[in-house]
Amino acid sequence: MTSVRRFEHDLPELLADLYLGPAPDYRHDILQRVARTPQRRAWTFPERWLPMGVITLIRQARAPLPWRTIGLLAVLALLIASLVAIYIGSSPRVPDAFGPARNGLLAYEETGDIVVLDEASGSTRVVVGGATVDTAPAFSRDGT
Amino acid sequence: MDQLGLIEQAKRGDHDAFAQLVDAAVARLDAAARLILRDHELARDAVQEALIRAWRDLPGLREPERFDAWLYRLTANACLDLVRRRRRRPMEVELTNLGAPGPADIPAEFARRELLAEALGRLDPAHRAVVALHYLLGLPLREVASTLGIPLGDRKIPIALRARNDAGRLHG
Repeated sequence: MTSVRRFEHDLPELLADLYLGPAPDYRHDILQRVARTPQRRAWTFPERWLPMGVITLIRQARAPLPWRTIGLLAVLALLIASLVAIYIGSSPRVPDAFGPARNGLLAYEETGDIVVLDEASGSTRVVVGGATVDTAPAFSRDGT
Repeated sequence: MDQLGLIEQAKRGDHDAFAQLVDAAVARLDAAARLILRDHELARDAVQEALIRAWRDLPGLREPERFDAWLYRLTANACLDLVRRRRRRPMEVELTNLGAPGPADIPAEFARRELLAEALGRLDPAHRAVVALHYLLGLPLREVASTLGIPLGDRKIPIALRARNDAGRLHG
C-alpha cells in the first residue's frame, strides 16, 4: 500500500482520536431549546405531496444563479438603453407635411372670406370671396 | 426501542424519543463541528442549530433509515453557514482526546496527531467539512459532494494533494 493510501486508510481512526470524545455538556441546553421549538406540520413539506422525481427536479432547478453574469448583462442593457434614449432625444425631427397640409398652406376665415396663408413666404390670398359670408374652410384630400 | 421506532415517535412530537436520538449522535456531531470550525464555542452553536433544525423538520423526513446521514448534513451546513456569517478566521484551539487510552509510543503518536491537526488547519472550512463528513462520519463521497454542492471530481483533488503533502511526514 502506498503511503498516501495508508494515510487515507488510517485517517478515520486518527480523526476519531483527535476529535471524538464524550457527549458535550451542552446537550441539556439543546434539549431545553428543542422543548420550546414547535415542529413543522407534515403537510407543510412539499416532499409529502410530490413524487421524489419532481422534488429532485425542483432542487436541480434551484441551482445558484450566476449573479455576476446577470449583473453584467443588466449593466450592458442599461447602457444600450441609455444610448438609444440619447440618440432619439438628441435629434428632434418633425415629420414632413402630408395629406392636405402637404402644400404648406394654412386656410382660415377672415371677414367672411376664406384666406390661405403661405407660411414659407408669409403672403396671403383670398380663395373664396364675394358678398356671401364664407366660413369653415377645409382642404380636399388632394390638397386643393 | 430501535432508532426507527424512536424517529417515528419523535416525528409525532415525543421529546424523550428525540432526546435519545440526540444522545446517540451528539458526540459525533460535536466532533465533526470542532473539526470543521476549530473553535469549541462555534462548534456548540453549529450543533445546537443543526439539532434544532432537525427537530423542527423531522416530520418531513421521508427516509428515517437515513436519519444519521441527514443529521450529519444538517451539521455540516450549519457549520458552513456560521463561517459565512462570521467571515473570520476561527481561533486555533488545543485538541485533546479526553476518553480514549493513549497508545504505547506516546511521543510519536502525539506528534502524528499534532501534524494532522496542523494539516487540517491549513484547509479552508469547506474542505474540512469534506474530511469530517467522509473520513470522520463515514458518508459516501457522492453524498458529501451533493451535501456541499461541489462537483465530485473537484473535492477529491485538495484532499489528495493535502494527503500527499503530509503523508511523507506522518509516515516518513
